[in-house]
Amino acid sequence: MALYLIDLPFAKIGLDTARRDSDAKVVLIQDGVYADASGLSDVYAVKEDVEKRGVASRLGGAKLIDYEELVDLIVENKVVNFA
Amino acid sequence: MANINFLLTEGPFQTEKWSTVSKLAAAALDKGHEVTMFCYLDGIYNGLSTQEFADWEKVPGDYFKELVDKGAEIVCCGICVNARGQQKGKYFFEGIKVGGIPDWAAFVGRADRVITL
Amino acid sequence: MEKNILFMFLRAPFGSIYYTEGMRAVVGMMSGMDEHKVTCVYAGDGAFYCLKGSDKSESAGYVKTIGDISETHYYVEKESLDERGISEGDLDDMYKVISRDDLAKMIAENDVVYDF
Repeated sequence: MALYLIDLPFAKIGLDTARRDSDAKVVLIQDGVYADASGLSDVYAVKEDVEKRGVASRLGGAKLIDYEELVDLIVENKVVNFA
Repeated sequence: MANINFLLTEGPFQTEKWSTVSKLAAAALDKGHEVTMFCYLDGIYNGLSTQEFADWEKVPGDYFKELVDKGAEIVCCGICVNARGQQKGKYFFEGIKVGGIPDWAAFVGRADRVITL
Repeated sequence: MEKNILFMFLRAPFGSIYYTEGMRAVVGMMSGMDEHKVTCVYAGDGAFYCLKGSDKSESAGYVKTIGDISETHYYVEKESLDERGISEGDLDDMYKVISRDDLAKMIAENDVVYDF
């Protein structure tokens, strides 16, 4: 399983690539929480980055995670960097 | 326990990468994972002990010093260090080392996971 | 341990130093004790680097060293070219065009995926 770490500058190509991977997990990080991750089912967003930007209601089904939970995801999955 | 390597290519203050990396690395260390970090390009400025910013109780460098104290191995690109006038890292916190890309390549060889920010 | 590493060059060249310092990193990754295997892909705004007219003198030395170490392929992603109105005829010959599906496959096949 691969974990796509997505920040805004590379969000379009990163998410588009993740959409081609049926096992993709996606983490929106930093300005990546502004990105449109529609069409992906397993989406996480870093809680602190979301709350600072006031975008929780825009994130649809994304699960908010803290850094401890992000570490667990990183350890469990190969990381693909688009950040 | 996993070995996690970070590549940090941006300096402190200007973007939030220093903050994200230091928090994520601290969380990994607190969970008992091994952390290595290669500071490349402007990333080398994060380990300076001479940072000052009166508005903040702690400056970015303090967080990187804490990572070293918790057991993280941090190496800065020596070419980048000298290119930026940092004279072999003479003002870096103790424990933040100056090395080269071979150190980074060795970190990657040992790593279970690689993160770039 | 030897790893397979994918270097994606995603940033527009020349506006920042990533396009050439990324190549220096590729050389270092290949020449260390672990002798990592590296694949390079230009995508996103990084695809602009593959244009015939772009100045490649700064990374020419790295490309030569990389070639001396092992046969390395340089790829550029078709969708990124299309999005930017670049045709294959506009590119230097050394870059092989691949699709975004191929890039997804390369991501799956490599142990480490870097974004430069």
